[in-house]
Amino acid sequence: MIRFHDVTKRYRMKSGVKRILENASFEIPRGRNLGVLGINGAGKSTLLRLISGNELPDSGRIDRDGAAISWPLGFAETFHGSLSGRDNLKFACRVYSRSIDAVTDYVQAFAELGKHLDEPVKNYSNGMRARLAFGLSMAFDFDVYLVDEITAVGDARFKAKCAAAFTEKLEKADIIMVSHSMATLTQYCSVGCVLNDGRLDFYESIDEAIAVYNRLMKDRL
Amino acid sequence: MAGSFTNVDLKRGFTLQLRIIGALILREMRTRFGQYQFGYAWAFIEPLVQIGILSGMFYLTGARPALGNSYETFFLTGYVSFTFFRDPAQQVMQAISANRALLSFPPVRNIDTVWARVALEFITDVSALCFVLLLFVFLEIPVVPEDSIRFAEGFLAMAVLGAGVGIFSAVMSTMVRTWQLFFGWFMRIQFFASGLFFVPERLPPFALDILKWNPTMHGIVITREGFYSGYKSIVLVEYYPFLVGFSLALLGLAIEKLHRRRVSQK
Repeated sequence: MIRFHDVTKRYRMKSGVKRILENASFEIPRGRNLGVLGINGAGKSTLLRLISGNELPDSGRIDRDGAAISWPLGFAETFHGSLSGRDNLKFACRVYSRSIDAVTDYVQAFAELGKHLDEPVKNYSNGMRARLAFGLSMAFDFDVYLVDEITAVGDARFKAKCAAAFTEKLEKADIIMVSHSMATLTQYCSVGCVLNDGRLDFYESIDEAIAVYNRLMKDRL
Repeated sequence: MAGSFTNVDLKRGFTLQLRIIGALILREMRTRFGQYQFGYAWAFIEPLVQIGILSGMFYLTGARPALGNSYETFFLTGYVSFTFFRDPAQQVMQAISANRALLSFPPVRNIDTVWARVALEFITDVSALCFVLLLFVFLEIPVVPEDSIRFAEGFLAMAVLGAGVGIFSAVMSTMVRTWQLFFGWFMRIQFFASGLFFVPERLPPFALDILKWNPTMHGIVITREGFYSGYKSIVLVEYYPFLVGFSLALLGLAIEKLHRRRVSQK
């Protein structure tokens, strides 16, 4: 169970104060996959970063019950560009106290980078970088995977491999996913929530959340 | 419930933090000089080159050093002491801003990058000092200090000061945009005001009245008192550099604690 206690998060921008969460208290239940919806700029990525602990709330408290939560997979730059893929893996293993050999072997086999694993990451193509990042997140067993608009990488065969690895993880782990693709959300998530103007509302089915989100979009037009 | 126990905001195992600082140190060693050939070795070569250049220039003037007979030892005690202050001050100041884009792993905190750089700079500077001393022995330049403990105390004073200035500046630079600009001026002034080129007792009284407030000058004086037999400074206040260093560090850490939610925005 991940609990938000009276959490407020705002951003000061040149155009004024942006409200992400305003005195929000809620629980994210375990054992269900959650899709997060919200119009652009509502703060969906920030919500994931609050859950992961990358970012602290302005006020309030977030309890995680000892759950191992991933970093938000997707957009964020996970790697140090001037270090090789291998050294970046070493750093992550040291931070998370995992076996360097086991993780490197797994990622080596999964990401199919071959000799490039010893090249600086800044020389990687976007696809190679995404493969390394995805491989690393699959090598660690998290209880909750945070997914920020993950985009499929590689050819059809590699996509199938990613989907298979991910599906296997989700037998034991949960997912909290931000996506603009309703198809992806319905594929992975059973419950949904909508972030709007500092409020986060939960819905028992992802379809219901999508319907609320669609109404929100229509109101804005 | 276990909830509050695992709240990463409030309580974090000391061993976890040490592990993360260790991981950051290893990563920094790889990246710091990564773009140059020989990498980390430059940290050892730089003080040697500087001592060589400074000594060469002063020998050309024909004047004798203010203490002892050799400019090599005058700048060993002056310049290498100064690096113990300069390196942590500069590197720690940039710790938060340099790592901001790289903090995608939630267990890694801003403050860990600060401690990692404090530790790494100290380890590097001590190693570089040992390297210079060994080379001097090899070149048969006398390097046995009159009082080894006092000699070491001077370097420690400079390191504490550098860490204090660095920690305080790291926090301030995340809040005050122009801090880095002022910091640049401050460090350029320090290069001349720290006393690496002079001995305070030989300054004109009006200059000494101002410079005696500069804590780095006291740090270098401790090193030189430890090195040269018969040199006893009349202006030294021994606790002063330690006091300033620890105060700045504590002040910086307190501000970080109060403003953590703001500083933490990665």
